[in-house]
Amino acid sequence: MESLWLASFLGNLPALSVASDLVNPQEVIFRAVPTAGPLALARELLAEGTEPFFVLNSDVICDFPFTALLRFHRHHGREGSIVVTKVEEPSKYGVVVCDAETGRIHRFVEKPQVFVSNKINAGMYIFNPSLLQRIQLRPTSIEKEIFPVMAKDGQLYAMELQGFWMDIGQPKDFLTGMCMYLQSLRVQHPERLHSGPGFVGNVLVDPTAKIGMNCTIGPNVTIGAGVVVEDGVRIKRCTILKGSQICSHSWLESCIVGWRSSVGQWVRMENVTVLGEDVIVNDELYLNGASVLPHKSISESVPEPRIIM
Amino acid sequence: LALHPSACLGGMWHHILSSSIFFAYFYRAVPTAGPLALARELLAEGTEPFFVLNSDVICDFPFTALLRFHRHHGREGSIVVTKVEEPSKYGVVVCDAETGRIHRFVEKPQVFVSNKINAGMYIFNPSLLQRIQLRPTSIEKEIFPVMAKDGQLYAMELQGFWMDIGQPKDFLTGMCMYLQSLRVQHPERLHSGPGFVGNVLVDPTAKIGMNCTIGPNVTIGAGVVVEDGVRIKRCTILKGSQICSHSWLESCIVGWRSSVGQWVRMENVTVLGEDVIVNDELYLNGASVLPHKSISESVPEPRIIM
Repeated sequence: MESLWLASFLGNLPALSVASDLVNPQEVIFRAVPTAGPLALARELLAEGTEPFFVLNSDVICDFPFTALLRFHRHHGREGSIVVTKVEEPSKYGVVVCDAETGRIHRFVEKPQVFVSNKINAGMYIFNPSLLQRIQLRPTSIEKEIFPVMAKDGQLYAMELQGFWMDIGQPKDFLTGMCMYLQSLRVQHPERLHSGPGFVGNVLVDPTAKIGMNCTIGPNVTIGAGVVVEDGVRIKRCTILKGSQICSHSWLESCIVGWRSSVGQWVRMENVTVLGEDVIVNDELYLNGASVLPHKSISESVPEPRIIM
Repeated sequence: LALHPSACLGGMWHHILSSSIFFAYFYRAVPTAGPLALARELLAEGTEPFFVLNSDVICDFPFTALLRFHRHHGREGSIVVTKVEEPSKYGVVVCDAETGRIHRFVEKPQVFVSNKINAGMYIFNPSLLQRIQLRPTSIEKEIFPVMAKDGQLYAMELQGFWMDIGQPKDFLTGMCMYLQSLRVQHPERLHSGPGFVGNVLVDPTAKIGMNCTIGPNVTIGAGVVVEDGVRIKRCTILKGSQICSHSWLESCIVGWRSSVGQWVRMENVTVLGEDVIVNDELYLNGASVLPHKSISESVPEPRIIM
């Protein structure tokens, strides 16, 4: 496996950390394009190889089963395999109807009103390079246009995911997915989680981050590279992205702090407050469900949820 | 002095130690002459005039000047008046510009008659007590108009700040005025140093932790404990309270012996009655909390907790 393509906005860090055990990630494409776009552009690189390649939708999180999927794919020997997961409310999604034994996909049904299946597309695929011949160089949705054809040709198979899965496209769900991911770390790799005085529950801290004195961090917190958390800070159920700073005595719950942002002293942020990249929050403010676009400075409290642009 | 216990004047009474102070505690709302009548025995013994203060006001109580003014005209009673911008909201006092002799009182005048209102501080001769019967009596409504008619009531105009502090919001405004007057007259009584901003009054027995920023406009009472990393602005923290670490308070009144947890945020005229506990990490926005309650959930919108 030589190349790994991720069309990503969030930079799906857990996926990269898993994948890097297997492959060298080659390139990440940052435009919003229909899913087949990146593949077509990568056609040259990918088509050279004879090996199958993975595709991940980075709006999902799970224990990306690279090894199991590769094995499953080789076993049936057809053109493509997708990971599916069971959901409780299939009528909200597009569901996958497949053979219980082999996993061969018969068809896709969008938001079924009667029960046909409770398996949905989990957003992780593996394809043979021959797939690229199916994709034209125009905006193409792989799920809407390519998969149904492959299914009809009997060339698409489904492998059921074991373990947690979450669509993390919305900030609220991103945090829920983060909690699931941390809990799976607790089970599989507890040594990667942080512990000690001032740490509660599942907390993941990059080794280059600095945490001050008298902080209480967790449960369910991830802290990225180079983050500085000053003294007396309380953080619960948050993602603090790389290069950010949380100044002293602040209190954060259920927030996402974007890369290189700075949160002042005595700030209170809660209720899925999201700071984009390079946001500054002045001292002593209260942010309740604020969604702040990148590069903004916030100098007034936001007592009710709204978007700041 | 007939008072109901209001700690807004807590620090003030150090200034009055030369007088005899009798505290009449009334837990029911009684008309103002009630305490006087009950104190009749004590007061009537004397020949000296006695002060009466309505404790819902704050100003630079001009005891000496009022006593001098009262003796000078020699009549039965004197009241302090203060100028306001919107007299139509109040009862106004119409008096002689030269002597201060009060002609009459006019309630909420629609046309301009006067811009002076009763500032809530009085001095009376003991003979006044004979005017008061032992029944609920409002001294302002029933006694003063009669005294004015008799030419026995005079008004002295207050110099300096004055505030009706009956409402919490106004209490804090009055506190700021009082602290500013301290800054002018007795700056040495205010606290200064690293971590203190603007006018801050701290009882000597209070303890303030490290890395706090206190002020402007904060009063901290006896035995209060403020832990590390606390930010307080425009607040009154009453005796025996505790503010735990990393909390942030602005425009609040914290009642006697209350406890505010860690990482709490309180603002917008949040008022804690006596012996209130606020759990860690909560947000109180304009909460009015009755005494002896524990708060275990945030109060995001102003309301009364009972």
